[in-house]
Amino acid sequence: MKLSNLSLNQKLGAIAILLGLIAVFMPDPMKSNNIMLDTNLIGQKINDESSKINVTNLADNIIKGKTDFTLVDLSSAKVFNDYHIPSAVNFAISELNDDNILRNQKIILYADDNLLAAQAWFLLKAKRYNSVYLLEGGLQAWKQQILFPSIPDSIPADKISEYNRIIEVCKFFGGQPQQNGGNDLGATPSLTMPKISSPSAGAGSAKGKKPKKEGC
Amino acid sequence: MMPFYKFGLFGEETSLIIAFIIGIGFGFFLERAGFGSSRKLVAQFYLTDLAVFKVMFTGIITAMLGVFFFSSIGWMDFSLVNIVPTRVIPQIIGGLILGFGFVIGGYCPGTSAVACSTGKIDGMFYLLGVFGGTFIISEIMPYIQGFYNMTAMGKLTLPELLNIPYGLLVFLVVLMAVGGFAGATWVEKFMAKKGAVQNEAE
Repeated sequence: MKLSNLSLNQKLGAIAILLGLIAVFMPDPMKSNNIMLDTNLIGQKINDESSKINVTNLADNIIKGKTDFTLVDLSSAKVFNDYHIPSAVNFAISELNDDNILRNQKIILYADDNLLAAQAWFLLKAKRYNSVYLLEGGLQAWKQQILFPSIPDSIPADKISEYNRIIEVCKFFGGQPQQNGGNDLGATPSLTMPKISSPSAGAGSAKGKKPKKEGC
Repeated sequence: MMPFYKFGLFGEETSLIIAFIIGIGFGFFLERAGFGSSRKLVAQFYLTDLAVFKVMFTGIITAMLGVFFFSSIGWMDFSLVNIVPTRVIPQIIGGLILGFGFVIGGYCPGTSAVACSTGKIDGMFYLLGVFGGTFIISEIMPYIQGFYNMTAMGKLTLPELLNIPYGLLVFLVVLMAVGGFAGATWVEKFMAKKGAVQNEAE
């Protein structure tokens, strides 16, 4: 049988069978947990700090009601229930493999411990999530700068509006400004964490909400 | 890296525009393949014209080979491709309802839109029926959740079910398709001859 005698359908069928035969010898695409890392890009992200967000910017975004991000708290469920930054969702680092977080959202990671957040950041970057950020200083920085900011007794005239803003933000989140520069969180037993009331989890939060349906 | 949407190449608004363009393409090729005609569509059930089977299976094989090879060479993250969860009994019953509707009405939901857009009145009524049925099922969904979720098996694929490598399954499906095309062509010729003999006898 000459190839030229075959009809177009027969030629296409032969190509399909050939590709199918090649497929038998190719690695299983679903079983591969291998990743390819662009180490230059990751190194650059770490060096120029473009992968960090400070607590003040985050607080501003929450106050303005921005919902274009997913704030992920990596703490245990108990710690999360005791207190978490408003609008955060709780994921254990092991759950980050389950594609529970939409890739197209900006993802901001934090934990009580910076190391855990950094590990989660690396894991997501390795899975090619584009917009992943670390909350600079984590929960500790949130407590020190937003919930219990240190306010000096005498504020210079040019700093009054700045400190007023800090106090407003602090009160918005239910915190207590600390006078006389004292916000040593470990040594001040009177500091109680505020109860979470609002704002609720943003549109970007995935956990606890109906998962976004895809397909038809 | 594909899927493009999952990797943030474009946002949700742009994805709707792209879906619209893809929809236009899908409708165009369905109409060009003759699937705006209920006679051609129903003819497959009488085994006289199996174009629907051939065209749809061609699309399936092309997509399957594309997804498999793109994933294997690292152009696509296969784990991000959506797979509809398997719920055995609801999907069998839904398929039966779809089949009954297909034979009785002469269209499936997609081809009824094609027929409607080409001015066929039966297609318009069928499409109204599609909207009506969709509305009814969404209204009664809270009451049939138990049935809807029964025999759920999660996002299951044939390689997982049969415990065979993906590549082997791809090869077997290709063989099935090519065999199916050859068989369909033979059946069409047989039915055409049978029809010719019957016409002569009459």
